[in-house]
Amino acid sequence: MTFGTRTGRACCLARRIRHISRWLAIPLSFILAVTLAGAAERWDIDALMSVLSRIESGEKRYTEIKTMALLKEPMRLSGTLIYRAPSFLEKRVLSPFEERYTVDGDSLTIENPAKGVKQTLSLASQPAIWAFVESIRAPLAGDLATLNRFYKVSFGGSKRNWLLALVPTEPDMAKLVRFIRIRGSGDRIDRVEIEETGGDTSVMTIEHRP
Amino acid sequence: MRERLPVFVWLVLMAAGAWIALFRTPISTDLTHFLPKKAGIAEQILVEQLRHGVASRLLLMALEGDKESDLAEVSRRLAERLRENRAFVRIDNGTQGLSAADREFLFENRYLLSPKVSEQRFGAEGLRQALEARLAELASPAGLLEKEFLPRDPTGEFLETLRPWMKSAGPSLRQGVWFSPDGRRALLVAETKEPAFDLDAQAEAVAAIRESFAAVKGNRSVELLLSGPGAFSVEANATITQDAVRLSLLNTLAITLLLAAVYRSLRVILLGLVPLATGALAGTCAVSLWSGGIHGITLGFGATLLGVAADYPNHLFTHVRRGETSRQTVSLIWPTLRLGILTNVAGFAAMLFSGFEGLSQLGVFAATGLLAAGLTCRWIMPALMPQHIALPDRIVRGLHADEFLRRLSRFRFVPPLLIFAAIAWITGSGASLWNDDIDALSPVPESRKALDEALRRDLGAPDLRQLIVVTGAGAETVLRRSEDLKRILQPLADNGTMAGFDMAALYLPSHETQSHRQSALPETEILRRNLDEALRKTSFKPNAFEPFIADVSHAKHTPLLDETSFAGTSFRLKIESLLFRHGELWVGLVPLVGVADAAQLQAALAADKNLIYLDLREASSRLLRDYRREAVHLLGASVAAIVILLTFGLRSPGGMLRVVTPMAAAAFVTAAVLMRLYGGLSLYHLVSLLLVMGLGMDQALFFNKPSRTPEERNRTLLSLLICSFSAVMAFGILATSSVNILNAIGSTVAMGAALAVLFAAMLARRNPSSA
Repeated sequence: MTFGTRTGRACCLARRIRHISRWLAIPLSFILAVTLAGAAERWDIDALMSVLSRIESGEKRYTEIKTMALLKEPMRLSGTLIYRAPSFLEKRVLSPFEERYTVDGDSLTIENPAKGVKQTLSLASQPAIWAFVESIRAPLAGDLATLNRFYKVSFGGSKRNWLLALVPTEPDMAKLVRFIRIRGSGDRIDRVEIEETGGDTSVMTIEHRP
Repeated sequence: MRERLPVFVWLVLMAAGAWIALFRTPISTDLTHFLPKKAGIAEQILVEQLRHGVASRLLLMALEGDKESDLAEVSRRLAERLRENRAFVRIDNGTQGLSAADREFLFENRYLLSPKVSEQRFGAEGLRQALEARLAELASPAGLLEKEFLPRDPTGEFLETLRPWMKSAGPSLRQGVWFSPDGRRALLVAETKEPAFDLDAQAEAVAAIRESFAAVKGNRSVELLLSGPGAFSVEANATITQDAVRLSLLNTLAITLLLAAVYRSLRVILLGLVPLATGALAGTCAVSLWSGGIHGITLGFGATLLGVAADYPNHLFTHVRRGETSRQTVSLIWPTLRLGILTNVAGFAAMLFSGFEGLSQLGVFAATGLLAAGLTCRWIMPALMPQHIALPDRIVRGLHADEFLRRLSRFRFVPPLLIFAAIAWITGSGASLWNDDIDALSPVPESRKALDEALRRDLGAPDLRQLIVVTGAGAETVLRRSEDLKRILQPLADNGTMAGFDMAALYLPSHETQSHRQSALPETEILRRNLDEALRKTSFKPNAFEPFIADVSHAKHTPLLDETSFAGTSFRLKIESLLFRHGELWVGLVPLVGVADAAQLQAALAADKNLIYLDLREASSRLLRDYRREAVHLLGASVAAIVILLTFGLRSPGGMLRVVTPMAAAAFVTAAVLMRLYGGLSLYHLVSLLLVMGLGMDQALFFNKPSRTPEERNRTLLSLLICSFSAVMAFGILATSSVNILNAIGSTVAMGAALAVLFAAMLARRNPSSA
């Protein structure tokens, strides 16, 4: 019996420890959850590049508004953007005329069916154009090294609303463009703004609704 | 003292000669020596282009390897490094577009240079169309680049002035540098400061390229291929020198062994070289004094022809009998030797009358050289020779010359028959005996030529093989005629008769054209009115193009451009290479690329006498053919002189025939066989045949020398055997060379010398004393 009592006591102790630990587990798991969530929420340029680099391919519609000093009113263009990792990018203008720019690796092809023009050139031979192409392609590929090669890169905002600001360091490009701003949320690029040295601007909005 | 006098005089002359040859004789490689003295302007330009033209100064480089990025990187670094080297005027690999100064020049002069300038283009409708096109460009991403010029150049004339330069900008770009269309090779072009014939400068340039390549290559797996006239001449020179040195060492060894076995005296062997050396020195000096320098080809061919003189000391050595002084021996063989020398000299003297400087130089060299070698043999050698030369009696006695010649004489009808057979064989083949293609002379192997052609095609570099020469009294006339020519050529380029053409007028319009354009530009007020009308219908702001109006007003009264206006731009070189002064005349070169139908082209040009169509390869082959023809014609004169001399010298037409027949038979048979083997004889074969004839005549003369005793006849036979054996051996060794020059000379002489001695022996005079 004594033994039984002792047994009953021990049993009781174990239950109590279990009880306490259960109580403890609640705040512990809470703390753990908060910490983990914090880590997931840490949103810097490396994190952005990392999520962007996971995108394999995509096709989106865009509209572009160009405001130029020479023109009485801004010019509106629209078309599609097609991307395939790691280095294929196509910008297809559908309105107000048709034109297609295809970048694949080092080559850029310009096609205008109405004019019967098809021209291919090497990006490396045209540094300004190359820099321009990488302002979109490098973020899509999550390739920070290439971005840094052509631009002074700064980053800000939250995961839901981030901003990548690019100031050209490539001399030919710097002569033409003052800065490029890319806005997005999560792994989506929403808007690309370009301001030229002469004051002209271009704003491209990418639609993500199907 | 009287014995020493000739030796003393000889030594003084040799010293003076050595001084002249070493310090006073420039060795030229100037091809103009091989121009006929009355060359036409086309020939002069041809030679000028071969010597100094841009094409002769281009070195083509190709980088091969597995990784495209490695090739591009090495190309970039190699170009950077070579641009610092002063041996090069220009290094191109596609990285350097037009410089800022170049672009500014074109931009500032766009209204004079653009071929599109016309009244319509600046009318209201023309301007409206231009503005619409510009608007579309603004919409495109590339519009960013052109926007800079838009307010000053809404009609896009700048692009039109860039177009001709872009078109000649060369091959496709990958990773920013030139690549072959298949992407296997990165391509570079270097233009050297010095022309291709300046071997030292070219060798330095080639070495600089190889060193720089090794330095920038690192551990990447990239190979360098080098081509172009300069690289070829450096390479050919190296292989020829290497082969010549190796083979002549082998020759020296073989002949020394042969002579050592017979004479068993080093002194005698060395003495054997004396007449040959004297002859070469005398020949060089004579040419130097006669024409102020010697051509490299004269020196090479002349030394070959002097080979006959190598026989002279052998005749002397073998005829020295026991107890006889060398002086007595010399007087014994001198009449025969003298006749041989005189006939040879007479033969070569005919070349003196050549219209080609190069050929007459060769005549002077060979004639003087042989004469000097003969005189040395007669007057100097006896004084230098040892008192006694002991030939092994066994050899002298064992030859049985009489018996040997008697047996051979049964075949005496063979040589004359062979002459007819050889002639029949040559004419029966239906092909030409001579191969006058200049490529047959080039020591560059076929595989290298193929590589060169491939690289030129990839680079789109004109090979300057075919060109049109436009002449006129002044630059303006030439430019106007070029513009007329362009109107003929453009349709031919469009319909595929040729791939393209280049001319100065593409970049620099004539004054006529420029002022025509200038007058097509409207006056300021009219332009403003037209522009206002055009702008009303577009979305450009009304005052957007004020700078354009200012520029057009300025261009309407700006001074016209001429060939000096390009100074300070990188266009200058191109303009200067295509348009230049040549004596009294101005010359415009129009290099043609990929001519598919030369006949159609020539027909299109036939109307205008100021246009000369020139196929460099054909024209240089024609020059060569003229040179060869003249040599053959003069050979006819030589043979006539030789026949007369021999008839008088031998005092009988029969004796003359005994000497001339083996010589002719050896030459004809050799020519026939070689022609079948090589598909035609080149200039090298011709020169070698001259040597064969010289050797043959010399040997035939000795076979017919009056002899007192069988022993003397044995000695003569021995002498002839040594001579022909060493000639066949020496030239046979040369024939093993892979270099076509050495191979051709070697095989011709080896074969000819063997035949000559055989035929001469067959026709040798049966000696009356043995009867």
